[in-house]
Amino acid sequence: MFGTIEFEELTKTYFGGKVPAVRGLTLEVSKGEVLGLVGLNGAGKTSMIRVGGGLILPTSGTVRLNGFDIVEEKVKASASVGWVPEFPNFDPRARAWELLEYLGGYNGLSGPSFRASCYSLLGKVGLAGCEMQRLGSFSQGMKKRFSLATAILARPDNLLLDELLNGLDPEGIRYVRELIFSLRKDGASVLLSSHILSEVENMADRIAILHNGRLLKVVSREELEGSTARRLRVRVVEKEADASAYLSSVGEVVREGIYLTVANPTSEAWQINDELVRRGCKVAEIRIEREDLESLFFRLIHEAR
Amino acid sequence: MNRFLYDIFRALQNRGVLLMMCLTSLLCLALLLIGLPHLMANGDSSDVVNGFAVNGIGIVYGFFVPLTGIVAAYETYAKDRATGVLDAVLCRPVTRGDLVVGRFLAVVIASAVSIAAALGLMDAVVNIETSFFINPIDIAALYVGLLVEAAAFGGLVFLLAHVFRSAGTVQGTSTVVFVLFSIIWYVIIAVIILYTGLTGPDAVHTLVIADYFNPAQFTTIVLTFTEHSFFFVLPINSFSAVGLSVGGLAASGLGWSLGPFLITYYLARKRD
Repeated sequence: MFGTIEFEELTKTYFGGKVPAVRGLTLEVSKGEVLGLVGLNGAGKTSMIRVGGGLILPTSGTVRLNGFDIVEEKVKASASVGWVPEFPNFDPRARAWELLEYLGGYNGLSGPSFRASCYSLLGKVGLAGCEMQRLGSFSQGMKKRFSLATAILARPDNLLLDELLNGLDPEGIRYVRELIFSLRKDGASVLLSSHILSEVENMADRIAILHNGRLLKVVSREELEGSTARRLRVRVVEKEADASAYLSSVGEVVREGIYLTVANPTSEAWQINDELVRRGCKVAEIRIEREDLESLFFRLIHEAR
Repeated sequence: MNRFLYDIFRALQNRGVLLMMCLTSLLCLALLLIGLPHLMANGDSSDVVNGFAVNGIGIVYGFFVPLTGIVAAYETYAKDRATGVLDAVLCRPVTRGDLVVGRFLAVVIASAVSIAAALGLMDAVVNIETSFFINPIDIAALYVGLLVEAAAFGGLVFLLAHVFRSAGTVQGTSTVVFVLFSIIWYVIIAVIILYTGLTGPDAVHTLVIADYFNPAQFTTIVLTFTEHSFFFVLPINSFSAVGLSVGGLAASGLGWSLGPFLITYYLARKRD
C-alpha cells in the first residue's frame, strides 16, 4: 500500500458560479502521511476532496492519485482511492451487504469469499448484525460507518475523508483514529478534512489551512509543537472593560468565553499582571500558552481577512 | 450479484414500473376480452381480428410505455444523480461515460423484458379467445415500436437529469415532456390540419410526418407501416403518398432511441 495524492494548480468554479470554490491549489499528500484539511465553511475543502474523488471535474489544474490523473485516467486513479462524504447518501432500499457487494463489483471483487469479507468489514466498522438491514433505516452515524466500509472495501492506497468524524459517536471516533493510524503505518496517504481541530491536530502529520478556496499555510506537527508563538490567557472578574482596553495596547485581544486572550503580547506576563492590578482589575487567572492549531487557525484566518 | 445485473433488477423491481405495467396490462386485457368475443361472434375475418388486437395493444401500451420508461429512468439514474446516491458509485473505478451507459442499458433491458412479458401475455390471451396467435411480424413491430418509445423517454429523463439539478424539477419536467408528446401533440397537429383544411391522404401525410418527430407515436407509425392502415381505420395504399418509408422509420427510431442518450453521454463526460 503506497499512495500519493497530488493537487496541482487546482481551480474549481461551479457551473453558474462567479467565485471559484478552489483557486490554484497545489498540495501533495505523500505515502504514509495523514494530511489534515481545515477551514471555515466555504473554504473549498469539500470541493477539493470531491475533485480528488472524481465526483466533479476540475475547472483547471490536475489531481493525481498514485500518479494517475483523475480525469484522464479515471479508472486507474479511482481504483486507488476510497472516499467518505460529509453526508453519505445511499439507495434507501438497498441492503447493507448487497450494496457493498455491488460497489465492490466496480473494483472487480466478487464471489463467496468477497461476500464473507463484506460481512466481516461491516462488523469491523461497528455494523455487525445490520448486514440485512436496508440503508434507509440507518441513522446518520450508521451511514457514516457504512460509508467508511465502502471506502476501505477494496483496500485503497489513498483515502479522502470529508468530515468523517461528524456524526460519529466516541466509539466511532476512536475506531477511525485507530484505522487512520493503521492505514498510515501500511503506507496509505490520507486526506482528512474536519472542523474538529483538536482531532486533526492529534491525527495529522501536516495540516493545510484553507480560506476562500486558497491555501493559507501548510504546517507540520513538528512546527506546531515547536511554535514560538505565544498567547496570554487572562480571566478578570472585575473591571473587565478596563482590562480589555489595556490588553489591546499590548496585543490583539480576542474574547474566548470567559477569557480574554492576547496573541503574542509585547509585554511580559508579570508586567501585564502588575498593570491590571494597578488599574483595579481583579485577575482571577493568567497564563501563557503555546499557540495550538486553533489559535494558529484563527490568527491566519484573521490575517487573511 | 454482478453489478450490471443488480442495476437491471433494480430497474425491474421498481414498484412504479411494475405497477404501471400491471395496470396497462389490465387495461389492455379488458379491451381484448371485451372486443375479441364481439368480433368473433360477428364472424369477422382473422385479418380484422388480428388488426383489432394489434392496434388495441399498440394504442394502450403505446400510451403507457413512455411513462414506464420515464419512471424506470428516473428511479435508476435521475433520482440517484439528483440526490447524490450516484456519488457512491462514481467514486469507484468507473468512468462517467461507462456509468451512464450501464444505467441506460439497465433501463433498456428492463423495458425489453417487461414489454416482451406483456406482449407474450397479450398474445396468449388472443390465442385463448380466438384460437390463433397474433401475426409474428405485428408482434415484432409492436415490440420494436414500444422498445423505442421506452428508450426514447428513458433517454430524455437521463438528459433532463443532466440539465436540472433537483429531483423535483426532473420529475416535473419529465411529466411535462410526457403530456406534451402523448396528449398535447395530437391537439396541435389536429389544429394545424383543421386550420390548413387538409383532408384524406394529405392529412395522414401530415400526421405521419409529425409522428416521426414524436417518440410517443413511434409504435403508431411502425404499425401503420406493417398494417397498411392508419389507426386500423384509414387504409394506406401508397406509403410514399403519406411520407412513410423504411429509411424514415429507421432514422426516427434510431434518432429517438439513441439521440437523447448520446447527448446525455456527452454531458456526463463534460459536465459535473
